[in-house]
Amino acid sequence: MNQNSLKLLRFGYVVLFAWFGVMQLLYPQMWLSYLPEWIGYLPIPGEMLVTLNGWFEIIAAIMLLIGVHTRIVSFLLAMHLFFIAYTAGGAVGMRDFVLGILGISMAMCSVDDWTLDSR
Amino acid sequence: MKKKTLITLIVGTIFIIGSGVIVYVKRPIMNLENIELVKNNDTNPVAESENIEETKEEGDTQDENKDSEQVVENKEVVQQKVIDTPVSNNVDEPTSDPAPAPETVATKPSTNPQKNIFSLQIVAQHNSSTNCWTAINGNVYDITSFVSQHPGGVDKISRLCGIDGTAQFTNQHGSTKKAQASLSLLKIGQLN
Repeated sequence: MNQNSLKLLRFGYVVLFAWFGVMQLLYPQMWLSYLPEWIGYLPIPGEMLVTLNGWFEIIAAIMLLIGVHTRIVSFLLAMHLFFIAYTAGGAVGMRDFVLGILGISMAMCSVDDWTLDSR
Repeated sequence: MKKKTLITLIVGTIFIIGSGVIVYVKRPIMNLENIELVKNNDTNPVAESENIEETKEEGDTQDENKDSEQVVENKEVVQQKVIDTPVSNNVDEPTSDPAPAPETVATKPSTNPQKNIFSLQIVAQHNSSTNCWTAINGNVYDITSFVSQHPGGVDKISRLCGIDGTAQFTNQHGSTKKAQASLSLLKIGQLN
C-alpha cells in the first residue's frame, strides 16, 4: 500500500472515532439504546459505559492522529469494531465489521511517513 | 527518555485521569443533599413506599373481579393519589389540602439517575414519541432513543409515553430478563 493510501485510511479512522467519541461524550443518552441487553445486568450505569467508550475512542483517535503505536491502536480499534459488529448485528453490524477489516489492513501495513512511529 | 515513550506516557495518563473523572461523575450513589431536602419537607420516603404498598393491596382486593383495563386505571389513580397526598401513618385519613410539591422534584434529568426524583406530572409532560418518558415499577425512564428500535413496533411503546406504564410493561414482558435489562439502561430517576 502506498503512503498516500495509508494516510487517507488513517485520517479516515481518526475522523470516524473522534466524531463518535465526542458524540458519545456529549450525548451519552442518545447512545444507550445501542448497548447490548446484557450490559443491563452489570452494576454499572449505561451512561457511564457510553461515556467511557467515547473517551477511549477519542484517545485512540488522538494516538492515531499523531501516529503513536499506530499499528497497535489500529488493531485495538478494529477489535473494538468487531465486538460492536457482533453485539449490534444487522446492517450496523455489517458496516462496523467492514470498517474493522479496514483497521486490520492498516495494522498489517507499515506506518506512513506522517507518523511519530516513522521518526 | 525517547520522545515517543514520553508521548505515550502523557496520553496514557490523560486517558486514565479522564476515565477516573468519568467514573466519579457518573457514579450511581444516592445524593445525600436530596435526602436531607426530602426530610426537611416532612416527607418520609420509607413511609411513602409503605403507603404505596398498602394502598395497592387495598386496590387489588377491591378490584379482583374487574378487567385488566380497570386495574390499570386504578393503579394510575393510586399513583396520583400518593403524589397528591401528604404522607401520614394513617392511610385512610382523607385529606382536603393537596401537598405542595417537594423542592427535590426535578424537571430535567441530571447525569446521575439516583439524584432525580420525578413526579408523575413531570413524566406526563414527556408524552410524545420524540420526547418519551415513562414510569415503571417506581422508576422513571427516558425511552425516547429506544422508541424507534422497539421490536414490537413504535405504536406499542409510544402508548407508555408520559404515563405510569407498569401494568402495560408487566403484561407484555412479565419478568423477561432481556426486557428488564434493556429498560435498566434507560433509567433516569425515580418516581416521587
